[in-house]
Amino acid sequence: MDAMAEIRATFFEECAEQLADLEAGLLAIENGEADSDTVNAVFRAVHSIKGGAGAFSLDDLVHFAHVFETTLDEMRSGRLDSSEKVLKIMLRSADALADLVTVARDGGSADAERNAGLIDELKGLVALAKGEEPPAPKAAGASAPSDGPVYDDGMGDLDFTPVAVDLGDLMGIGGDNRFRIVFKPSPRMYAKANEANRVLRDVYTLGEAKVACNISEVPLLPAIDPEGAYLTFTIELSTAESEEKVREVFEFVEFDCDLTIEAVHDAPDGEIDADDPDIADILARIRATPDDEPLETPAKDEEEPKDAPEMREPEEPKATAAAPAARTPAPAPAAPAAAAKADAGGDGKGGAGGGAAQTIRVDLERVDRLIDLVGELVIHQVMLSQRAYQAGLARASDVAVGFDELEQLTREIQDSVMAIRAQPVKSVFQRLPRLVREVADISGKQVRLITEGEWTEVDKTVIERLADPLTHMIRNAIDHGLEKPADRLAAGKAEEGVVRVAAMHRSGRIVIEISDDGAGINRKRVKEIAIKKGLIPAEANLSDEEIDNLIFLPGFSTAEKISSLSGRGVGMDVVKRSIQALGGRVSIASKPGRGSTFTMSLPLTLAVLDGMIVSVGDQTVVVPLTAIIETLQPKASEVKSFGGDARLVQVRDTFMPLVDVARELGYSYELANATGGVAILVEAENGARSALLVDAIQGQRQVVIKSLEANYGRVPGIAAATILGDGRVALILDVDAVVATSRVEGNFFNSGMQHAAE
Amino acid sequence: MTTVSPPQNDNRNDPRSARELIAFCIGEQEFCVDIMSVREIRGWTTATPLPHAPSYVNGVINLRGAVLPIVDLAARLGFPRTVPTARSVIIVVRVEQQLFGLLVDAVSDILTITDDLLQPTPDLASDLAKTFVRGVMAIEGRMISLIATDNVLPPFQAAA
Repeated sequence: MDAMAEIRATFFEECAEQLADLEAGLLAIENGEADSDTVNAVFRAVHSIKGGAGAFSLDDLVHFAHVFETTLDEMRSGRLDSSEKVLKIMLRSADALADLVTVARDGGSADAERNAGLIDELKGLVALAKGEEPPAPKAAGASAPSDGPVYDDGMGDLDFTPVAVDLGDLMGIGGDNRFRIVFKPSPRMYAKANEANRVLRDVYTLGEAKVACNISEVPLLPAIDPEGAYLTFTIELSTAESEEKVREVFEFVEFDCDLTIEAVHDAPDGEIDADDPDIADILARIRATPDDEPLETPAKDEEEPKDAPEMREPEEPKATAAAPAARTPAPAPAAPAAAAKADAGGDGKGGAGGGAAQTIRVDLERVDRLIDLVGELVIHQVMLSQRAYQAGLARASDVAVGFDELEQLTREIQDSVMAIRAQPVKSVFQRLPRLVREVADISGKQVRLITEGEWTEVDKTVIERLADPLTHMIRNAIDHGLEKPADRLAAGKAEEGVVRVAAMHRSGRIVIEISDDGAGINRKRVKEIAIKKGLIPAEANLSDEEIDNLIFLPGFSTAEKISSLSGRGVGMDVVKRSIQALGGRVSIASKPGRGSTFTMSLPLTLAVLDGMIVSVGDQTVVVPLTAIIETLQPKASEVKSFGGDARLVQVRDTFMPLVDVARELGYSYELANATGGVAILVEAENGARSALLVDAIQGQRQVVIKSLEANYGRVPGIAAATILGDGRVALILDVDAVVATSRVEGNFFNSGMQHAAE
Repeated sequence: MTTVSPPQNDNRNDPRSARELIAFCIGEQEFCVDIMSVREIRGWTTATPLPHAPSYVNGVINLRGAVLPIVDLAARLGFPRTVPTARSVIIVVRVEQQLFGLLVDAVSDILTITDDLLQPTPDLASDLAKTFVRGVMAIEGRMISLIATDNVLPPFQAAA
């Protein structure tokens, strides 16, 4: 059972990838960036989901995917234009498919009415492509055969049209029905990677069946067309199911075979030669083959012509054409070439359209272990060479050259290992278009989403936890940030609002900006609400920045009426908390009438950091190099006292706060003498500059970030720890936090923020 | 520096069966912890102090690449702080997924006891001490307190 659960988990993991590919592909088509590979990739994604779903008997999913796939096939074959209207339906279908996958995984129920409606629309497109009249949309409930098609595992190009079944007649029959089915597959059916064997097996699941195979048409070996079809099956079926059910079995192959199904009301005649040893053999094998295992048995005798057409038709030379077969457990020995290509297609799930990279799935723990070990290796390598030099090793000696090479090698190993965990944020960004579509629909606003920097790499754990706060902030940007189309027009803006999501590396962290071109924060109202809710005193005199930051306070919500989107009682304070739990920060910048920008900055955990090693008191501290602008030695004339203990330092024409690091970290309680130390100019995430006062600069080095959280917990003002060449632990300064806390003291507003953050 | 490898056969399921404890001294007093939670015992190395940490946290040291917080057990129990010397000992313990070190004066003994030897903590002990002392036992005329290591680290709101 466990093994099954694992396979299931893998299936859903793959589904997620396929859905991402699907959406990315559709969007590419929508933007006109598509080529034939894109369409194929989209098709393949849906097809793979269908195939997998079939194996788990997820009938609703299979059914929907099948209809969707059929429509996509029309597009693939060029019969259906990729017009805007078509793509809208496709995108919505992709969303519905994603929902069905979620339902299949987590339980719950899908929006059956919407799905049925979409199925109708998709079928309409197919009909349109074929130049037929689109069928009149049926009542939602009736149009979707609730049971869906029976087991299908990777059937390819199908022209699917709904089967008209007269339910009224069938309802009356019930009980023990007998049918005589004559099933003569055509070569086309095999060419589409369907297999008679499977269909027959499905018939067996319906009841008691006797199958007779007419092999009289099989020509002698020299005359055999390897891609031909020569067998006719006659099935005597005794079942409790209705004719409709029986037909469903043949649903996918109906147009690629000669099929007659007739109800037999008297006892079956003795036509079926079940005693025929060959038939018995086939039947035994059909029964013995487990559902999702490929038929390993090489084709023999009368099966040969049946299997041979599995090889793809010569007029489909592209590798992409093999993809539909990829998930099909094709009889490998019979078609080695096809199987090889199919494998290549199967691996293509990682990338939409071509460029199929080979990937493996590895347990994350193994990677982490490897990263830890390599980190150790680097530390020991550094320690070893330092000790060797201390012991008098000549810099020019062969050993020293060896050390240099070893160092390069270890660095390279480290880089490669780190790269294993790093993933582009694309996987999160891919989910955004759908979110934006949905939120835009509900809120009645027109929104264009622009994403930038989707290849920015960040650690996998960060990616996983990025999705929730990001989702919330985008919702917020659309619901609260953007104005209604009419208001936008009145303000002289384009009707369509723009939400921009950009990722980039900055200060050794990943920064994600979510900006909208809406109305900006209504500071007057924000302040009123904060006063009304008792979050700030009525007479508080706040800067614009401080007012903007009020929205992060717990208990603050600007929504006067709760909307179904943002007003779920989850405020920005929750977003802020979840980002902080990741060791990140969030800030806001807003311009009235021009929009707001939320910036969240998150650590690239496990990354290596370029740091400046400084002395603070008798401690060694690492300052991330990326935060540093310049260093200087302040002169006594440049340091000004500014009320109480606060000091400013003059750098050229500007004054900036001088932060005594030793004091902030609690290493010393007295103000350090500014002129004796070094001032490090840093820029915080919000662009504000400060000077950090330290005692001395020791040097610059790449350090491995070690988690303090793993064995201890978060330490204010400290981003992480590292181990220096001498084997001692040094702390890595969280520049922004140190600068921020230094400004806090005595300020009711910031201490309130501090309190809220804790 | 001694590395203690945990016994291969963990037969603690039987309440009557013996369990092993590592006894150590803080000043004149003797304490012990369950040997199963002890990963290793090592000598003192200077710790890097952590800002804004409680006074009973000495700081962090490098344990073969891992950052290991060191808790001054004496201070944690409400006694005067230990002044670490070269002879001080760090007992590395694991609680769930977290590793940390207990700074003690010296390791004195390995005891094998049965649970019925354990007496409840006397009421005389301070509340703080009672939080960490699971019980006391008399062994060869000495009084040894059994320390529960679960709550020794300072509590964090964001579960690390």
